Amino acid sequence: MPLQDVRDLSAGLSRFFAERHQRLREIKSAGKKNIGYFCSYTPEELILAAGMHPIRILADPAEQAGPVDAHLQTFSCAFARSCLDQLLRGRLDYLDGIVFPCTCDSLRAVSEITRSIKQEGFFNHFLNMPLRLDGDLPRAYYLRELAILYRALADFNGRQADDQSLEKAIELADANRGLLKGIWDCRRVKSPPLSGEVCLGLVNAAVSMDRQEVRGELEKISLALAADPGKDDLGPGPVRLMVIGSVIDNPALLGIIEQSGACVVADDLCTGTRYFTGAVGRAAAEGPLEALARRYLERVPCPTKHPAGPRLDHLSRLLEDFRVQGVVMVLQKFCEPHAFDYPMIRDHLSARGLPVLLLEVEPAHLAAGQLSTRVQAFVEMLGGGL
Amino acid sequence: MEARSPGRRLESAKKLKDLGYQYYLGSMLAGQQGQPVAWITSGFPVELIYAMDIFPFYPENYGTLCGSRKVSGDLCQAAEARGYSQDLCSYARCTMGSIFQNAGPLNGLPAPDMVLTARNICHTVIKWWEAVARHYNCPLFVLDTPFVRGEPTEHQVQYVRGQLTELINFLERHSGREFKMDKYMEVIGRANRAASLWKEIQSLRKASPCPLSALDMFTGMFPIVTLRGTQTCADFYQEMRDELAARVAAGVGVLENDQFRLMWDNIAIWYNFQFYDYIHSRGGVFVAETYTSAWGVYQFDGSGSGDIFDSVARRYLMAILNIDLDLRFQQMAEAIREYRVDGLLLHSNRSCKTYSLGQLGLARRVQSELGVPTLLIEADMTDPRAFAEGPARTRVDAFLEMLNQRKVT
Repeated sequence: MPLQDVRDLSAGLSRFFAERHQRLREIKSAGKKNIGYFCSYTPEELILAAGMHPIRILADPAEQAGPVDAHLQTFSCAFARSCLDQLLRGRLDYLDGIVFPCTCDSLRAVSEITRSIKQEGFFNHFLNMPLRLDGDLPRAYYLRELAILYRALADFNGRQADDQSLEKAIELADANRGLLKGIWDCRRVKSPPLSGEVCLGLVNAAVSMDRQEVRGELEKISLALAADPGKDDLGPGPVRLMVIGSVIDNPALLGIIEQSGACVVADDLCTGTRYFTGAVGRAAAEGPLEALARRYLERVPCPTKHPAGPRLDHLSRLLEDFRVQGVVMVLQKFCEPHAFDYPMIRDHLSARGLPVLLLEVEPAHLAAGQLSTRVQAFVEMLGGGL
Repeated sequence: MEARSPGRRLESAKKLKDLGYQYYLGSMLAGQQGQPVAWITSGFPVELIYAMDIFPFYPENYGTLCGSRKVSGDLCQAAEARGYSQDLCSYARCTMGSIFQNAGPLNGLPAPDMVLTARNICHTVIKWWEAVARHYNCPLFVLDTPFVRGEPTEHQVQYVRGQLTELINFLERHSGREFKMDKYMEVIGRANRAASLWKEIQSLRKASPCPLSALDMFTGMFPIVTLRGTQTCADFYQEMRDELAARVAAGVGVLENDQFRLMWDNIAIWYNFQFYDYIHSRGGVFVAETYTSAWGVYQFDGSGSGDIFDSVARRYLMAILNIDLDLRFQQMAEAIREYRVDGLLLHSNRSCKTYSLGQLGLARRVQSELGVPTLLIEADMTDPRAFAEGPARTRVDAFLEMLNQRKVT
């Protein structure tokens, strides 16, 4: 299959994402319950297993904040503000409920505020997951919290919280994670067949669409890529960048970076490798819920979790595997956990000879001109540029 | 700037300066004297630390010191120069700035042998402590305290309790000191005594005229935060309570003429006590603060169905910034009724997200459900760059005028 087909397939997924509000309303009209969730720390497997449709809630880059001003101060995380704003405006009226995992203080506040504004009958669950990921105590505690969530979801949809449904959901989620990982790997070559912007768009769609459909689409893309894997022997190729941060709701941001003659070949993002790295799998001795707990405790941690060490190891691996030349850290304005880690990450990367560019962004204020000037200077410094 | 305080000062408060001096001197000398130093958070179970004769150093209290000595702005900038964003907690920036510059009110900081942090006040202290542990390359203990909606569940309590056992092992390993139950229970006894006196002090402010306002409470909370579990702490509050009780008996208020009974929400504006004096000069007296009352909850009882660690786990889970908004509203409403509050001032504190996010809804509920007017003040606890005092005073004027009209009509 020629590369053009891969791009068409990806464009199809991007289109779904762009039209998602309408398409998700259709899912609801067809009788299926939609459960929104925040963060890649929500085990979407449980929502699937309970027979409902999981939708990752993302900020809306096109809209200036409005009604949220009555609930969250302007110094709150811009992502949290944008998401709450959409809820208040009724943009997410196709949701039957939301799962908030315990991660940062801002989203905890959004969870509390949502509880105060949503009516009876709306499923609002705070998955009180541990901050600590190390040792037996967090594991035992987390397992209880997962069981509570699974039961609550199943009750809400009038189903049984059984192992069989969970096993099937895990199989599907693992398959999609594996497919995304495979597609990500296409950028290991010198002239990657897909841009970072396109890849990020795939995840945005993959966390919104029906997961079976996602599987079908990703399989087609994987097949096409296998036939046309990009080139590793011709010329120097673009400057290879890694992007680090929390959530990038708008893949166009990577487009701005890539217009300067670079390719975003790797990432450590909540809507990127942190979402799909690591399968649940199954060991003979454990049940599906135990396996699920293990995956979420052992996946690449984000800065809201402790300890931070495994994340640095993950970064080091990516740097090597994807031959990264420079790193762009995209910081959502007022995001404390990521801002706190910036000096650590900068030092970790500098010690390995990698320059770091810090870009502070707000979803609704992508100052494209200013961003591209800074990125261009950075890429030129790395020896690239158009 | 007007002369210091239209309010009467407490005699007992004069001791605070000495207590503060002794505490910080102790922190600097501990290492030389072979006493291990642990940096800890204000929501950490310090009773264990005192029981093992480890010196607890409080970077948050150090932040208040930087603020009141008016050096916080420079220290924050020093941290920013190293990559710590201006949007981060200003206490944290004061610490990091002091570390990087070896500067600040103590001319540096006592190097920790270990650092101990707990989630129950915010996620910020987890990140901040991680940064400190990296800098000093010292062991870090993270006490994970799940968020509480309503009541803590049994498995939450068990999770925290289990970590308290881990903590004791950690402390023994890194201090070389042995944990002794009898000594711990003595510390618990003194901590309970101090917390109970602190609550009594709060309670005496129900009187009219009100015997004490926010400034004496903000400065007076130093022992209950840092010395909780010591004899010094309990003794200090005994004296403070007695003096206040005498004031109340004699019908003496902190102000000559208190007209408006106010409540304060969130951390103090440490670098600008003149702002409170200004409110006092306009007849406003603070009868309660959600912030200072937060330390009254640390009383423990091992005589019930669970043992002492069960009680400690429950209390530390119920820290004011670890409970749901509904519960926070209920606590606020109860205080508003009991202390006959005329108006609520909420400090929308740029630095403290856990305290501030949710305040706007709380304020609306206070207005609509209790009929009590509220005023939001935008500031920061230690970064003076985030406080526009002039406009804040104008807003206070308008607020008090409105309260006055309500009284007349």
